[in-house]
Amino acid sequence: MSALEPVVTVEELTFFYSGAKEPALNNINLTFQRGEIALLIGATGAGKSTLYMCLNGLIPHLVPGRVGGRVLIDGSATSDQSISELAQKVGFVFQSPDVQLFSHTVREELAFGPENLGLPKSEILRRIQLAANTIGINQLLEREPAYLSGGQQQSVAIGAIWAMLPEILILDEPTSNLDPQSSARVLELIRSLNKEHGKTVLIAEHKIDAAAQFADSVLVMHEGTIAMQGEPRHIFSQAGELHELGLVAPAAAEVAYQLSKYGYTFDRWPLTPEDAVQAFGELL
Amino acid sequence: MPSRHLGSFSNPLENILTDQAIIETRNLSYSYPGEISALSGVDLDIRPGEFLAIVGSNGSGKTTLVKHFNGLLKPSQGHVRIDGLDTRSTRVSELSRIVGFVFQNPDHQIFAYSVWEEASFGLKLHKLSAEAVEQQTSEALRAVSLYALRDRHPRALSRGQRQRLATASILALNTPVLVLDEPTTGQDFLSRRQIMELAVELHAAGRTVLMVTHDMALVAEYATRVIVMREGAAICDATPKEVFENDEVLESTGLDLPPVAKIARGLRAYGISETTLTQSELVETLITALRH
Repeated sequence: MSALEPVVTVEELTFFYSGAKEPALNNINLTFQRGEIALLIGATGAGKSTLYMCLNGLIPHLVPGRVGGRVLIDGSATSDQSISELAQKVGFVFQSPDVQLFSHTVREELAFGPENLGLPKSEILRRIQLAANTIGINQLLEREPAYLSGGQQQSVAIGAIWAMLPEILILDEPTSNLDPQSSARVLELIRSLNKEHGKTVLIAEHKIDAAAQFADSVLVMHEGTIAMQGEPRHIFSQAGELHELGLVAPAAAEVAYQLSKYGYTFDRWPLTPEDAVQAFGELL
Repeated sequence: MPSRHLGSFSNPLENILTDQAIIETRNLSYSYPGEISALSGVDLDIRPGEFLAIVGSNGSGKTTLVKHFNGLLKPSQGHVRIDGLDTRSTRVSELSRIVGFVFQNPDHQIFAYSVWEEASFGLKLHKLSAEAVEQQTSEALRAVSLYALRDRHPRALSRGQRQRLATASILALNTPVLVLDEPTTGQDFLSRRQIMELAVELHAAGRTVLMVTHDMALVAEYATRVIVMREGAAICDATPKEVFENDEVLESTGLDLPPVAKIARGLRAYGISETTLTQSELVETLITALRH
């Protein structure tokens, strides 16, 4: 991460769905720095989806309800920007790519976003090529998305968002339907979009073992609030607190937590199996 | 999950108290129309009371294999016998009394207008008495903690709740064999644990449980036997520990060791020889080693 420059600022954000007595989001304050990868975790119903909708402007523009506080994207409030303006800044990739993909060819899929922005044809063609090159799906351009593997479909879904050139990418459990190899490839792709192109990434995952190691920060949501936030090693060293929220830490951190109950301590809390081998090896 | 909810599920094996395979495949081969072979020469015997995991990368034939167990697919070559019945000459409705199948995506399965209607639908097809339908549906919904929501429209449920409803509608059928296709995909930690605790209880009550999964931590923790699929063939049939110690199988199939087994493997250099499968096993092994 280079010099700190907030790209998303959430201030005292509260949201009630139309007719709801309890807020879905309750006084949330957050900042994402440009070029950061933030990992979002929380049990089902903690408010993750509602938060995404606040970031891409579906709230307040389309979803009925009552909003308090504000969300700033690149310094201006989402309430002052149209959905299509926001779509160029915040890209959202769904959990199941088959929900998002509907075209007959991958090429059409990549063209859809830029076409809807009303871009000239030459720019649309440039965006298609750019997305295909960056995501590495050139060889799939003429294929029908429905017949691709799960991992390829997820790459196409990310490509379709990439063609809009958003500054911020939100990915909702992008690997939940993929086998381990495809998951690793999709996570690697996300990491390279972040590292090589400086995009800010917000990723929600239940499978935290793989995601924990490349996140710069972790946000823990619980009942519409941000219950914990900080660096991965800090958050995942608090397994006891996570358990109370119905969550777990990566396996390496969980085992370290159990060992800590026997009085063993760790200078650098293990997150990955490699960390754990080193940390436990030192004890032995 | 309290076991009282499993009352009538307690003895599904009364008619099959033998050591004979409840699922038997012989030289099972299958090709989808116009495609190359999806399964080739699979020989398997699955006995009552097993907790079996079927693993392998996307496209290795896992789902094609299990779809033969309730007659959704019929072999192109070879045979599949379910409790002695050849699936080619047995109606799907007959097989569905033996093998219950919970799909990965609950929305492919759910279609009724209320939770109760969805959960009781299969039982009504089986022409059971109203009383039996009532009882088995209630127990199944209680087992997945959805009884209180029985009048809801399935669309008003969360994805995790819909997954549990899909499970309940199969549980209600009280089949001796349950196939769970990716039972924990997209579930948060608590729902995952709840689903697996239910599977463990059903297994303890005598059901045969088959799960198709990519989640090696799940395999390590729960399965008693693992079938590894690659390119349509069953290339390995062993215990989880044996599979996780078999480098050739792991490499050729791209299976990922569960994190705990990865840690244990790395600690071999420090004198830990055990392939531990669960966090508590690893902690115990480490504490024992540290105290010596």
